[in-house]
Amino acid sequence: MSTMNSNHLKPLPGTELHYFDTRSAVDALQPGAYDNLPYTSRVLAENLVRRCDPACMNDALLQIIGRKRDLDFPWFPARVVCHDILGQTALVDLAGLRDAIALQGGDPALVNPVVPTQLVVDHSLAVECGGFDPDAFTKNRAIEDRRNEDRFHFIDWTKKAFQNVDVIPPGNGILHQINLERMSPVIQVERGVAYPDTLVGTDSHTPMVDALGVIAIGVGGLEAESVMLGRASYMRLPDIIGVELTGKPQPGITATDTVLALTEFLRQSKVVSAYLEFYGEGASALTLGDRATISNMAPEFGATAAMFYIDEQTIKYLRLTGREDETVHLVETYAKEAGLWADSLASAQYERTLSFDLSSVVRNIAGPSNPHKRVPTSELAARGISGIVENAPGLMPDGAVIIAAITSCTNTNNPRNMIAAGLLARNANRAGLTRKPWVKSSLAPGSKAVALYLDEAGLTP
Amino acid sequence: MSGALAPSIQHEIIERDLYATAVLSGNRNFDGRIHPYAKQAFLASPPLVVAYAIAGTIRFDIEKDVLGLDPAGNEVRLADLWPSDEEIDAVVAASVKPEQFRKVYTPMFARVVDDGSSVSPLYDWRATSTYIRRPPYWEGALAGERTLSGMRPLAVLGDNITTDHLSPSNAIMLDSAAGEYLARMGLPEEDFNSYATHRGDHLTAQRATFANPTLKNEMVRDDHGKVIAGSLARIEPSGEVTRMWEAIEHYMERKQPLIVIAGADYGQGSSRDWAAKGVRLAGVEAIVAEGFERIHRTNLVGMGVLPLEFKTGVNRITLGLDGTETFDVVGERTPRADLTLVIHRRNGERVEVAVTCRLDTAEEMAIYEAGGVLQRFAQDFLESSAPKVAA
Repeated sequence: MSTMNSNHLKPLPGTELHYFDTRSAVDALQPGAYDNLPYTSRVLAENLVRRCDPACMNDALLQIIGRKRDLDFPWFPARVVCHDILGQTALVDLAGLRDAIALQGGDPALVNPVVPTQLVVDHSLAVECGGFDPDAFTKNRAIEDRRNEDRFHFIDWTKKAFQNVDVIPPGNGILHQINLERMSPVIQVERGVAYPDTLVGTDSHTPMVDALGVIAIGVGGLEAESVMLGRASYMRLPDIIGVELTGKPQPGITATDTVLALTEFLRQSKVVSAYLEFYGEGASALTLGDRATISNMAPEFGATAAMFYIDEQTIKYLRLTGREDETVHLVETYAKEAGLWADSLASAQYERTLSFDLSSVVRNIAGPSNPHKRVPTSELAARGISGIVENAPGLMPDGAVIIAAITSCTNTNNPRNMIAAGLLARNANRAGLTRKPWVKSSLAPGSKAVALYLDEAGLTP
Repeated sequence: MSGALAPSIQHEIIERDLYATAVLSGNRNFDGRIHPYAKQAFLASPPLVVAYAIAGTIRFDIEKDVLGLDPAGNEVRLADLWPSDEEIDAVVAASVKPEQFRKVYTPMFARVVDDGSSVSPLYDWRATSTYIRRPPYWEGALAGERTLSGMRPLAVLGDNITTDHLSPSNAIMLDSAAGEYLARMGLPEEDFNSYATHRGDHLTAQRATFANPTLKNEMVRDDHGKVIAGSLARIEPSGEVTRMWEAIEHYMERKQPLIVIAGADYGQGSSRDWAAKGVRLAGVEAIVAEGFERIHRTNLVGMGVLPLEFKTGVNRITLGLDGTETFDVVGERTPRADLTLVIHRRNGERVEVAVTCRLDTAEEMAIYEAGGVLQRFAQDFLESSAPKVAA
């Protein structure tokens, strides 16, 4: 259980809950300052008002208000999420730590994560059986179980031995997508107090849920262990950059095309380690799925986070993904009351802003070697990627695509992208076209919900 | 991460030294990451991935070339197959529903009633497991003092060293150090699994250190002075070139303090604590680079490895480093302090160069000085008579 402060705690209108009135805390130090703060600053300030040692509170808040960067301040993420690889190594480390403590006469049972930790076993599924085998998924799961018996034995033990550890067993999907579709409440409730959900995750693509307005930062496994064990994470106020999205994508342009173009643009704009906040007409029109595709690639931009404000699209997505009415209502009420709703951020001031026109995006691929090496599909020949298509009987051609994989939460979280792939495959099938025999094709959706809606649409591969 | 290919396809690629590729809707495409035989990888939207599976080669001009003929004999191109936005939106609206998400997630997150069985607070480690093994961070060399003196370079590296170079995630090959170890432990090759899955066993995971076949260690060159790609190292002072793992084993045996010299953007890519653990277990005490990726730098600190940054304009090339040198780090460590890197060249020459101590905060200082995150926690835990971590 975390300790909370009591100053600025107020009833949240329309609910039975309380919340910390960060605006009053900030404006008490500098009248009118809250209105100018970016989204990230408002959430970080709430975290301080709720959790920071009162002795250093004002100095920390003044860093945020004055956009100063000469002092580290603490923040206390509400959750730690891990996928199995780093999460498991973290738990192996904690199990080893228990041994070390026991050896020196301490009580090992007292070594536990203090911050709720969610472990999703998702990375161990190697695609052994390809898409041409109708039982591919079941077979891959059986192979996974056989190979990983030792790991599952250990994970089973951690579920029982450690407090505050939740394990989502294998076969349920990818961490970030489950985090987006279910685990992020957007607004947390703890002992009758509502506050913004925040988290650290042991994977650089943790920022995907930034799309929901949830500050989520990828950290190293060791730093995650430190947060799990109840230490504050310390940060210097990051550079917070406003990115205005104007215009609207052209017909036939997917969110993947947009994010590859944005990746190139933002790499060139040097946003290393910054927190980006997307806003503007273009941003409001993007579905949550499209936003998540963008936020997911924050590390490829070089950024630490890629935030979107809470707005109607957020609410629409929470409803679409079957969140309880009560949760959805709380998100809207809290966001509007606490100044996290898009409207109230019109007055936010950024030290640096960028502007990107969504209508400028063309169809792209990226590569080779780097996600920011974008190539418009209209220039494949000019860039030396396409060329002579060899067609010798019985031989694979130069440049043979041996793996064609629809994979990774970047895209499989996004219903529009998945449905578009399904429709293209259906159209190809109708025209009598199939994959080449040397192509190992695979579909690894980030959640089981994808299979259900592809089924519903009659597009199951 | 993709698993094994059909044997005939793998055979043809090797036999003909074929340029083979991968197309995926992912977010990373660094060379060699997706599959050892897919030399290069491209990212594309899910519908384009389907189109490339039909095209079969990256040489295909996906917008212009003919994908095939329909039953009526008409040429079919990408534009003929691409669904309209209206159709996509209509299908999404009709087919994606809250019930589907509830059906999946309600049971997944249902609270399991405790069955009352309790387990030992200490894990019963399985001695033969190649997946889970008691970590060594409190014993042996790791409990010893870091001297930061007389360090030999394990590798001298260029720019853009990724965590995939430092500790790859992909399938383990039989002829790799990890593959040989797993074979000795009695695993059949088809069950080697990926490096990633073995990171709970440090004996397998440490053999992944610098095990990427595309690594370019500038200490290993051919007769013309060209750097040879591979998981290779040159043991000093003998000058013998070996596989990276044999060099690490050699240095571990002689308890040689090590250093890694690198260029810009060291440690980019997936966050991976083994990218720091691997070098620490090898005996690396400091990394000097022109710049560090954020997460990787904190992992180094978390493992008690000192990150040092060259001043602008100074690097391994301007200093003429060839790997025969030994290195000391002197000065008082404080956040972002200037420290001195002392270079002892083989000819006896001594060069001093200022570097920035990339322990950025007082918190990082405390972690580093304790030897890492876990060491510090154990120290704090044992010092506090009233244990404070009970939830």
